[in-house]
Amino acid sequence: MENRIAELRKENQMTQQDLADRLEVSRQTIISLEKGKYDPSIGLAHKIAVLFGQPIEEIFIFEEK
Amino acid sequence: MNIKKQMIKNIVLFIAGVSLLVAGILCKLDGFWTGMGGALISVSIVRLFQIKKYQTDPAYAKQIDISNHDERRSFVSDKAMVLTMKLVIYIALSTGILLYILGQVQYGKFCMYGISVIMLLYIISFYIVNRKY
Repeated sequence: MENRIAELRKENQMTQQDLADRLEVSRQTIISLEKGKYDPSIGLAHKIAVLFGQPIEEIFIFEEK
Repeated sequence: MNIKKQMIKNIVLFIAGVSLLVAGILCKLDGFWTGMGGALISVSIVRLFQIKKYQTDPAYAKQIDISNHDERRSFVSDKAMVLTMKLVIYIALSTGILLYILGQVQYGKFCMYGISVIMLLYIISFYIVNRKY
């Protein structure tokens, strides 16, 4: 699943470590999320959406398989 | 991290290790038991030092908490566990077949029984987890 996490993080002038600290996850998790290698749980997706002040569907691009 | 629980667990391990080591030396037991005692002492001391650091160093405590609750880490751990189980089954299955071909029927059966036990445990676990979620 593609997402706009890297774009939004840069817009908010945050490093990967800053974002990891805010979301209480490891930096490796942020790296994997940004690369689209790992899909977050609904809980983490919600936290990300709240942090960036955007709806989940604006951040994560769902693709019908 | 539940500090009190971890502390008690490691103190019990430490006492068990010392008991094994002392019993091993005094009763001249097999080297396996003194070795086991030594290993328990080492592991519990390291863990107790880590707990102490967790209590006194907030940055370390935060890092440990994040690491323990990181969802990707749990996901990776579960994936690795599943992969390990599949590999064990395939390795045991091929070893069992090979042993049958080589005429080592008893050892071959042992491998097949092992696979059966793993599959039975999987069915039981699936039933339990399926009821829970």
